[in-house]
Amino acid sequence: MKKLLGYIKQSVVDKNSALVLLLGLCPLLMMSSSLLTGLVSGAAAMIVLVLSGVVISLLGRVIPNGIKDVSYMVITAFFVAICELLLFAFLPSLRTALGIYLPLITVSGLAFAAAERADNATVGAAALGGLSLGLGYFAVIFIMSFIRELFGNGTLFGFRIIPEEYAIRLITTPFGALFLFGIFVAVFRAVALRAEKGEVEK
Amino acid sequence: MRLLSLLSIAAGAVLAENIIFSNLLGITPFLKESRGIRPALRQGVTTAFASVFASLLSWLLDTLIIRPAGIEYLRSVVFVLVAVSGVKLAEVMISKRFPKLSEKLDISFSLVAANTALLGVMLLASERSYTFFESLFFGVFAGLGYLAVCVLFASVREKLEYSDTPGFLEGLPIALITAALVALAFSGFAGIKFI
Repeated sequence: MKKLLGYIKQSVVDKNSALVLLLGLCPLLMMSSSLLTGLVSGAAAMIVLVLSGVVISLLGRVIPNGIKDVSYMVITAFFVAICELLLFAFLPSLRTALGIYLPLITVSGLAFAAAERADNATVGAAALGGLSLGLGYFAVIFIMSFIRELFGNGTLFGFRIIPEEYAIRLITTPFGALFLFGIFVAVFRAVALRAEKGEVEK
Repeated sequence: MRLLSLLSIAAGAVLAENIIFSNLLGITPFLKESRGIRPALRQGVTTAFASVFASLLSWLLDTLIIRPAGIEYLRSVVFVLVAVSGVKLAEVMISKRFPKLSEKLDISFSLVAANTALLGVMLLASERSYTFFESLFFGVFAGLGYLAVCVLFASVREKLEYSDTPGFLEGLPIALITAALVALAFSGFAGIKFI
């Protein structure tokens, strides 16, 4: 149990894939404009990273060195395509919102980092490595999309919470995404710094 | 009429729908490489070249392979396969034929391939179903837009170095907030249309 908590803390806080390692910012920022797209894409990224990590670690010894990075990206692309087809079959309304951004998970640094971790690792370690990156991504996109939909649109999952006149439209634009993410990184760093100081004083 | 539509694609790709600020494509290398004008210039030029090829490639793949074969659902896989192996091939060829140039450029595979701008341009061009000339224009001007914004933002960040930023905002956070403000300025171009 303690080990599990430690693993979650490490992946969400200490080595957060978005806030600390700055991976996959393009899909993260664009798909966090509403809570539904954020949750769905976060879950999709998590599943893709785990599955592609497993396959890459299984195939790692078979694929020749020269074309390793190329084949890893294609493997990830296949899993993203599977996710895409399933998603649009069950939730066709998301097609316009996620359209070009879901495939971009393949070429973002996120998939690259997962492939690097899975290379020459055992299957379990590769799956955990992918999951850790995915968890960090999911946590950030969840909070971002919650704030952006609540204050930008005044709704949550499409239900109105704040009257329309009081919603700040700007937050749903790319400007809001960049601004909010900047503040996130700043707050995160400040808190991490304070925690570090506290530990030293103890 | 044709010319006007090409013009509006060009103006859109550079200003109103700049791939960085309206789609946030290639934002990670943009933030990382804009620490100085030189790396920003290098990143911008590489991406601009890649974007021209990417846009033409997406038209070619769409008309020759994907649509005749009826495999629209595999579009992103095909694009990733061709684009990434194209980048790899180019890297190998440059390093074999012109070892000095490749040393000077120092462009790594991951810098180009792991750039969402490349695949993003392909998917955008294909989604809007551009004709040949339209995709050529889109690729060239989207690349130019990326280059211009990279250099512009790098010079803003050079000024930021000398400013007195609060400690917790130093480095990346203030860069992100500045980028947000530049994006806001760029959204002012949204009304430009030629048709």
